[in-house]
Formats: sequence, structure tokens, C-alpha cells
Amino acid sequence: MNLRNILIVAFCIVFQRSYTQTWLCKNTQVRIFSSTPIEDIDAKTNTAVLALNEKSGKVLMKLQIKSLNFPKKLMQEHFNENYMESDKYPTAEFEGVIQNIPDFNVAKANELKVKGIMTIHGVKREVEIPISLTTSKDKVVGQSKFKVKCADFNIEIPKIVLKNIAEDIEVTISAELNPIKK
Amino acid sequence: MRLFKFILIGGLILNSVSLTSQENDLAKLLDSVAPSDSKEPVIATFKTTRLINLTTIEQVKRGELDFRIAHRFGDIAGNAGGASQFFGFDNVSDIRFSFDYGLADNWQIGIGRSKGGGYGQSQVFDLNTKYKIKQQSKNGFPLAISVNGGLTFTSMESNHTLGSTENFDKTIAHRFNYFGQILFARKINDQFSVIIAPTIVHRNLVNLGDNNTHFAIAAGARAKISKRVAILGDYYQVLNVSSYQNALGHQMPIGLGLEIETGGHVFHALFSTNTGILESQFLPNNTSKFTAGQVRLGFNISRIFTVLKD
Repeated sequence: MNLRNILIVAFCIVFQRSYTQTWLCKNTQVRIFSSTPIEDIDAKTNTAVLALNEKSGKVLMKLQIKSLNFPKKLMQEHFNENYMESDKYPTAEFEGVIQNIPDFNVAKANELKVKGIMTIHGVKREVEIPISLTTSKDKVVGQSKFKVKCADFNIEIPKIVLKNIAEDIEVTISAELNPIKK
Repeated sequence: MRLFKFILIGGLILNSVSLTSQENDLAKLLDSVAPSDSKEPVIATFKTTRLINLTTIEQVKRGELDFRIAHRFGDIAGNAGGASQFFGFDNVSDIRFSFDYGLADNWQIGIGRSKGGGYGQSQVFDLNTKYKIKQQSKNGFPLAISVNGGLTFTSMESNHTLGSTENFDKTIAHRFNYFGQILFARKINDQFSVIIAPTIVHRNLVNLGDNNTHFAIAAGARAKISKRVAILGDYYQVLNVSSYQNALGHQMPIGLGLEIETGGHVFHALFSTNTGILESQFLPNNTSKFTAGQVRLGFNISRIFTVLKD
């Protein structure tokens, strides 16, 4: 008598996972900032893309370096031409996995860690960055702030301008992800 | 129960398949929405608004002010040079100070003052403007095209001598010269850029037998040898050298230099045959001969100030 019911329940449990959602943000905001007594470097874009799989916890992000917009256009040119070499390395990328995947069905603000590979200036590095994910039924808001050391990614700063450019760049990412049903 | 097991195992397999395919889908999904760089504008064809003698297609960006100092020493060798003149360092051929301001990212205006290259008219003020018509883009339009033009005004005192090019008694118009150029440039790769510029110079007051209007084709190039250092060169071929200038021994202006960039500064250490810095001066008048050692050291310094921020 119960066999059928058990089967149905088992079936549901097993196949529940195939309802996994993928979340996507096409206009992820990225800001890079560094400050020295002589010069502040402050650039923004809102065209980075971010995708997240809520079951595997996988996070992917891609940023076009040339989309970063500086208030000083000359600085923008130098940034692309001399430091990031954006013709050679047009994108910065991140591929990682959320360490303790939250329940996306519960509306909650979660402080989490993401571990993965960051690629900047053609250099791949393993990193762990903190993120906050605010889950809700139809929207996930993600935020992250971390520091990137220029030297880690072979971004050379000539001694003559060392006083103008900090060696650590603060990166702030914020995204509003929408679900994509599979 | 066998059926149950079957469904359970089948479901697990299906489930793992769907998970891995989702992983791949995630990367595909991201690529499908990532902005493409196919029509991206090509930047930094040249590092600054001028090569040695030739203007480039680069603009002072909106709200930025470019303060430039250009200096040309005396002849390195030849009659007026040599060890006694410390290879030209004792003399000054021409000096120009200028300010260029970006009204828009593709439109700049400028004002300058030159000593004058020793061609008669000296103490020269100039007004100029440059407008970018077309930007080179990746996989798109292959060239950058700009127009550049201006006028010069000599503030020197009239010498009241009949037939002289420094006699401005008749009309103030005789103090004015004009020049115009269309600039075609292409950044061929990361390291190498070229520019070609049909040029016209018109002088209101000239010597007997000289042309009021001269036409020329200019060509220039920049080759990067490291991230911040490049080699520059430019050349003007004057198409209608006048009989008067031919008799004086007209020479085509040649410039060769090393470009060093540090943050907001761009520095050129250069050699040029021509003494003057302005087009309306060196293009019709240059008589300095490279092979006679009449070549000089010089430098250009550019410093960008941000006046208006976005």
C-alpha cells in the first residue's frame, strides 16, 4: 500500500535537485579604489557579469578591463596601456565555489567565503574572498570587498610613480542576481 | 523494491548529469551575456598630441589642460655649431610654450607663443584647434581621422623696410599665417603606429618669388621599445617649393626622437633639422641641411593637468 507513496516521495527527493536555480547579474558593479597622499585612483563599471549556481555553489565572474571608467581620462589610458595591458589581457575573471552554501529558499543575509581562482593581467592566483549574500525568493544580492596586491598579478609600478599609486587596490563588487530557470 | 532502487539510482545518475551540465552551462551563460569587445575603440595610438614636428591624432581629453614646452638648441655641427658652441647648447633656435585644452574628448583648442625659428618673422602667437572625425576601432573602422588647423600672429615690431617680410605697415593682415592638416593615423599593433597628413600652409606676406601657399605631405611613426619608451620620427615633403626657397637651399624638415612617459608627463629628447617649431615657420623656410651637421638637439615636455573631472 505504501510502496507507491514511498516511491513518489523518493522520486521527489531525488529529483528535487534538478530544480536548481542559476542566478545571473548582467550589470554587476565593480569599483577599484586606492588612495595615496598625492593621487586617488577611483574607477567604476557596471557591465561586469556574474553567475552563480545555488546547488554547486559555483560562482563565475567576468570583467572587461576597458569598461572601467576613470574620472581622469589620462589615468584611464595609462591604466589600460601601461599597467593592465588590456589589449593583451582584456578581461579579469573569477571562478570559485562558495564554501558553506546557504539555503537559497530562506530569505536571509549570509556572510560567506568564496574560494577560487582569480585571473588578472593574465596571472592566475588562488584566493579566498569574503562575500555577503542576501537571499530571497526572486532576488539575490551579493556584495564583496577585498584587496588586490598589484605585485601578485605582475602589475609593475615604476618607482617614479610609486608615491602616486598604492600597492594595494581595494575592489568592491555589488550585484543583484536574478534567477534563470532551467 | 527493485523498482524503487531502479528509480533511486536512475534519479541519482540523471541528477549528477544535470549538475555537471549546469556547471558548463554556467560558463556558457556568462559568455553569452558578457559584453563583447568587437567594436572597442583603439586607444593610445600615440602618447601625446605631437610627434617632433608633426601633430598626432591624439587629443587632450575633455576637461584636461596640456601645458607644453618645446625647445630647440642650435646647430650641433657645421658653421654655426661645433665645440665652440658646445654643440649647439649655447644657442637657442626656437622655444614654444603652449596650452591646449579639451572642450570634448574629440575637440581641443590651444594657444601658444614661440620665439620663432630665425626665419624673419619672430615673436609668434598661435591659436589652433583639432577635431577628431573618426576613431579607429577594433574590427571596425581601420583609421583615425582628425583635422588640425590654426593661425599664427607675429607681434614683432615692423622694420618699415620696403619689400621686407617684417614690414607690417601696410596692413595688419601681413602679420598672419595659416595652416591646416588632415591627419590619417593607424595603430598597426601594440607597438607601432603611423600617421600621414596632407598639409597646407598659407602666409599672407612673403618675399618676391616665394609662394604664399605651400602644400606638403607629412608622415610620421611611433615604435614602442618598452612600456614607457618609444622611438618617434616624422618627415615633411613640401610639394611646391618656391624658386625663392630653392635658391636659398630649401631642405625637408626631419625629426627623430625618443619618447619617455612618466605618469602625467611625456618627455621627448629629439633631433630636428629645422630650427622652427610651428608649421608655418619650418615648412616653407627650412634651409638647415642634415648632411652639413645643421641638425639640433631639442626637447618637448608635456604635462597634463586635470581641470574638470567627469
